[in-house]
Amino acid sequence: MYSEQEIVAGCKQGKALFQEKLYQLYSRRMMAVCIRYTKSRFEAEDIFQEAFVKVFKHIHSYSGGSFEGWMRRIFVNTAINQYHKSRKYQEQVDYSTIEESSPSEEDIVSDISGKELLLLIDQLPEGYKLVFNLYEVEGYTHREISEMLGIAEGTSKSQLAKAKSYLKKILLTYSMKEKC
Amino acid sequence: MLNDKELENIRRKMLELDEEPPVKAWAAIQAEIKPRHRWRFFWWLSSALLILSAISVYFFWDKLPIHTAAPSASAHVPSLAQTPKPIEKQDHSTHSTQKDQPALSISEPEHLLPSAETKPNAEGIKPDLEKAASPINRISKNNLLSQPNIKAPITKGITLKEDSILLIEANTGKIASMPGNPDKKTKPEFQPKHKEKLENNSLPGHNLMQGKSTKPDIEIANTEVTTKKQQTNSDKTGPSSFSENTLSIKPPSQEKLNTPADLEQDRSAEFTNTDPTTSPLVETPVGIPAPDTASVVLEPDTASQAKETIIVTPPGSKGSKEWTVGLFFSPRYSFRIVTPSSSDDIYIENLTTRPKSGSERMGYELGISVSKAITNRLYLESSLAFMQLKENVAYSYTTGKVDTLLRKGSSDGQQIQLTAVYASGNRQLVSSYAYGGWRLGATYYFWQNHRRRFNITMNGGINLLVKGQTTEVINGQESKTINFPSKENILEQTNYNLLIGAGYSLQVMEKYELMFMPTLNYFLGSTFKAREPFGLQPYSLGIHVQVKRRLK
Repeated sequence: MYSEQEIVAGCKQGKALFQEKLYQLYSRRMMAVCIRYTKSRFEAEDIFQEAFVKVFKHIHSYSGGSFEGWMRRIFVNTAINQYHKSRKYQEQVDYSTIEESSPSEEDIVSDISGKELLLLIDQLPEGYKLVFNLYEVEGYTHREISEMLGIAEGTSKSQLAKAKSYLKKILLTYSMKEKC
Repeated sequence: MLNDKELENIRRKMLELDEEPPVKAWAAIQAEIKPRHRWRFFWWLSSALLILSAISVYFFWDKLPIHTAAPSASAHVPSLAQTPKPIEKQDHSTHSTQKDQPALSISEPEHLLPSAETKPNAEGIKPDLEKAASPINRISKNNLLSQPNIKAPITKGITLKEDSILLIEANTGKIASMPGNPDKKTKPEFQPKHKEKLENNSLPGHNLMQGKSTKPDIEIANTEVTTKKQQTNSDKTGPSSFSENTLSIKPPSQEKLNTPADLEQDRSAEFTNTDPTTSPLVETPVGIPAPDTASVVLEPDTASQAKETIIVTPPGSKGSKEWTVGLFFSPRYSFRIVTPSSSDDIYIENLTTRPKSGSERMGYELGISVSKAITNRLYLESSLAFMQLKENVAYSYTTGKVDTLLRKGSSDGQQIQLTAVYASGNRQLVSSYAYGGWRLGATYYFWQNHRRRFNITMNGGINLLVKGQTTEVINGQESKTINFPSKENILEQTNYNLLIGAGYSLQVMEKYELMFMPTLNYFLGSTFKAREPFGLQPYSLGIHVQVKRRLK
């Protein structure tokens, strides 16, 4: 059994054994990242492969800190690049008509599994989903998101607010169906 | 709006989420991150050339005359007393003029004996040697012992120390061995002088060979070079000495020795032991001219014994430099290795292999070859060939478009499960390639007699696609036909290959030979390079049938 540091060191030396270990260690988690940022599994698989290749090719630039965080950034950036290539963001449907609502006290998320949650988030419009994932899950700031997506910071904030509101509705609907 | 607790829950659950990675994704990633050998062909070519060079060097070395063989300290060398008799016979028959000469003698160096007389200090010897008027030539014992005019002391073996010095005395022609080299500085001093002197006096004669190749060769023309009284008297620089370990000798030419001047010089080549106290040695007649084909190599061993090896140079046996031309035909059956190619929007679900016994994969190769014998067993060869290869590959694929959504409801009707079915298709590619090829390589016959021989062959070459055609069949219906090479890129599908084989040749007529050789032809590049989402690296097995004609 190898520690993460040993695996990373082995990968830096280009040893195939450690590269495979690294793949086995993170492939499932990184695949989930890819799926969160794409509409189809096909697209996710492409991003997954491309990002993993990037990880191995640029592993020498990893200088410390959380390796998983470093890897995740590569995967997210690859997904964003893919998103730009497909120009889906420009064809974004305007969901501005969605009304914002105040936070409710009821916790409807705790009863929903991660897989279900993923499917529900996946129902968000593409732009909302991106901003929501980047801000709420990955922890990027609005400034970073605006730079990554090439949008205004205010747009990022408003998209996030709308995404939360939209997701709440979806969750409520889902929750009601569950209870029924 | 979601509250903070809900958002934290979502975040946690999203980060903990796992998803099954794509099947065989690791293989694809591994193929991309594996270091690429950009100069793969050159690597193969270099390896092949290296192997060929090694084989060539081995056989050239094997064919080289042995007279240049360097002595080794560990080799067993017979003592001078065991000189073969044929040399003595030639001495009498070919150099009768030397009968008039006073025989040179080799005396046992007394310093080798445990007596008080034989242990003079080195300082006592050197002044004597440095007397300019003294007709003493100091020669390394090994060099002297190998001179042709020195009869080998057959009746008594001489053991000399490695550093001992032999003295040739001009008046009496005797040779004395002295304790050797007390002053090491004399070694480098005397070498260049001697070389110059010997070159000036060079006559058809003997080669003085060096034990080590790094030392300069010294050549002695005749024994008179160092025994002429006039020369030794005029040489005021002191006695000559050889520091080399070995000496090989060619006999002087008969004509030269028969001239009056030579006879006079030979008569004058007399040596006298002027100082018996410094060289109280046993006198032994010497004077063996070496045969034409013989060289004498003497070498002291570590046990402080002078020994000699007589190596008779074998008659020149260079391989016949014959040329051969040939016609060949080879039926070829193709296999292939599927390699990942550039990323695209196509997802191959299943790559179908056609039946291995299918005739679609049978091709052929025919051509002409020319070869030249480098040695009797090694031939360098080149060939021009026309080759036809066939491919037949089919696969099912999808572009990720959803074709159907399957809806499945739970028994209570409260849950609905939707399953997407992707649109997929089948594609078949039936290809035929005609290549023009050039190969260069070598054939080595490892066993042969007058009628048959067995060989191994290794060739490397380049293939240029002359004409290719791929017929695309989608979902069972012929879609289109692609012709290669395209006008934009006539070098499309250029490929390199490596051929190895082992075969059997049979002489059918005086100048003709029939060869059967199973071969493996491995292509170094892919035939489906950029047109398809994968690459195919073919390799083919074939039986090479060739008719060769010898040209002198």
